[in-house]
Amino acid sequence: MSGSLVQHALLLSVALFTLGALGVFMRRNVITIFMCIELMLNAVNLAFVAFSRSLGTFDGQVLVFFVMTVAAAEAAVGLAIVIALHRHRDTLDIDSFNLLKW
Amino acid sequence: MPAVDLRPLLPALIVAVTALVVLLAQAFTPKGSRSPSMGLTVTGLAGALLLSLTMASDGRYGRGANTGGSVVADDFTLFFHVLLIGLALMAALLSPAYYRENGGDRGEYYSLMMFSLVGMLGLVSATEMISMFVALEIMSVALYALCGTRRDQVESQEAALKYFVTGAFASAFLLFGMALLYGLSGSTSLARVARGVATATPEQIPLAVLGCGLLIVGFGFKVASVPFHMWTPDVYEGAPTTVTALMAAGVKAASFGAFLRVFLGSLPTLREEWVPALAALAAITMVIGNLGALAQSNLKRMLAFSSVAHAGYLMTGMVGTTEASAQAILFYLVAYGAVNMGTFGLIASLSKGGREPLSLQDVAGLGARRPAIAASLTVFLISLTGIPISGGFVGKFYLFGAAVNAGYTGLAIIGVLMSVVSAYYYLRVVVAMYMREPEGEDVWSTPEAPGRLAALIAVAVTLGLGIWPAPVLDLARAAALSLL
Amino acid sequence: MLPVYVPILILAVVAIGFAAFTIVASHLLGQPRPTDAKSAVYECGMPAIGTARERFPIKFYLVCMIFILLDVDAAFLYPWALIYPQLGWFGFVEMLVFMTLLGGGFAYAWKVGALDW
Repeated sequence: MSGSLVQHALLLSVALFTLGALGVFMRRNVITIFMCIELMLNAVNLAFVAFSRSLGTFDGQVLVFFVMTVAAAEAAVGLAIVIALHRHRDTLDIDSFNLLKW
Repeated sequence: MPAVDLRPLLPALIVAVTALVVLLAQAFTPKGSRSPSMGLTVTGLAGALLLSLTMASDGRYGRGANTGGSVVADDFTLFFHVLLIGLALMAALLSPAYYRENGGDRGEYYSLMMFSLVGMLGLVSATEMISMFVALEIMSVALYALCGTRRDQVESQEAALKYFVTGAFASAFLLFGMALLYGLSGSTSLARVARGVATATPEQIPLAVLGCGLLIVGFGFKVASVPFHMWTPDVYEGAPTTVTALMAAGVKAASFGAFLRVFLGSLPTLREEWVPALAALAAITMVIGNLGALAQSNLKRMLAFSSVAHAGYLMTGMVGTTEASAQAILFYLVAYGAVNMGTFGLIASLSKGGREPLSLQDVAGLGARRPAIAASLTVFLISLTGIPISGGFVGKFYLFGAAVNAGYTGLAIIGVLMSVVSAYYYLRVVVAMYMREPEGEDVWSTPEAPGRLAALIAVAVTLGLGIWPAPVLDLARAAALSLL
Repeated sequence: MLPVYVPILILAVVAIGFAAFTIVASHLLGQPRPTDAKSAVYECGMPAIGTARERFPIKFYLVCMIFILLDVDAAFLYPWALIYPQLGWFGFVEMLVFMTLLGGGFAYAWKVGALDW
């Protein structure tokens, strides 16, 4: 019972993580890319919680706690950067930020 | 609950409190007067440096202590503490002149720099994945903001955005790798993970290998190894030069510290799986980094590709997986840190009115006009190439030696060949400084006393490591032994 | 398995019953005296009609971000409070350091005017 539960949760987690990673490469809007990264982080959180439940140790849940906090801090700084950039350029298309060549 | 030993956290705590004091000092300074940011920063960092040195001197002061099994102050940690705090101190000395010329000399900058340093200190001392992840993020998030501290300059903002997107992306991969290792061992403690991996059943091995792979992707981004290096040239070029110096020297050192602790310290039983992958990455990193640098005309961009190439050299040393390879990497990180701080620092302290010497025309004839600066830059470039009497030579000698001893002679040969290629683009700068006639007026500023002091330290360390490397090699060996 | 859900069932019945009772009771007992303001669509403080894709003042963002950061960090207080007796002085000092850093950040945000409207 609990074994298959973990497997299902892990499959979902891998699927979400892959979707997020693909989104980072395929989306052009900075905010959407940012949301894709958040999706990846939350996919990892799911994996941690699933492992934590099946293994019966709490380390994974504690880590999830910290990941959520860190993600909030990252969001604050990331959005601040986006706003600072938007003051110079009136667009959020990642391809238009090409002063420095990738 | 037994008493918890907090001593391993003290250096980072001092830096964090100093950062907070600097931040508040800036906020409570009336408009028009200057806040004493640099003085406070240098005082706090010097205090943390002294404390780290005291701790390293004897077990009574906390050498070898650990905080609840999650943060440890072993020789490895203390070696990195002294290196990282020293580098941040040099960056702080270089900053005021640079920011006065380029706008925005404010306390927030020093504060963010120190918060980033707190992350680096935590990263090298964490023996448990939660602390390691949080430390990594403290370092990275502060740096994302630091990259964008030149508010008027769109390049700076663009660099911040690119660093942020790639950095956050990399963190997610690192975290997934940690999740898989946790799933295998049931603990986030690196020691338990090591035991879990060593006793893994055959069905669990693929999980462990996948976890290793994801960790390599995550660390690969942070140390700027190919194919995870795309952000490096853009971010190094766009970020304020003193921040680039801290990134090139400090972040690389701290990331390699964690990389070594996780892979050499905790995953040696999976050696067969990750060493070949690492060797392949090292080879392409050296080739692409050096070939990329050949094509650059902008000095900061050239040094960014050189930083990629150096990630390759360092990973070449890592395939040995013995204490000799850890020793070589630690030694090289000192040499590389000093050189990068010096090079970027000199570029920053020459900057005037928002411009910096970034092209070969800009440095042409520097040997005649500014002999001391040209001589220092020459020392740094010689060390980056790996020519004798410089720290870079001794470091590369040990790195490639470690690879040869592990049976990766081919990799060492690629490393030597690529060092020869690198001589072309490094020495091109030296030739421009001494052989070409200066063009136009001398428009650059004269480095101020703190900047000169930082550059002098960098030169002394670079030459010192080249002429008399034994003391640092011994310290690096002790640090490596405490890791393995 | 099923008896476990009985309390939830009771809760659901009580909730629906209470909602139905108040609606019916107010309908029977109250005297409707409609005015323009009363019959307007209720939306907390904002004009309810117009495009939803308006641009918001950037100040909303600042306040939101400061709120989120303090909010998420405050979440660490709950697990800490639960095991505080076991942690003793160590836990007290740890939390003091944490709150000092957080409070320092808040004081900074306040002083530089991030909270001014």
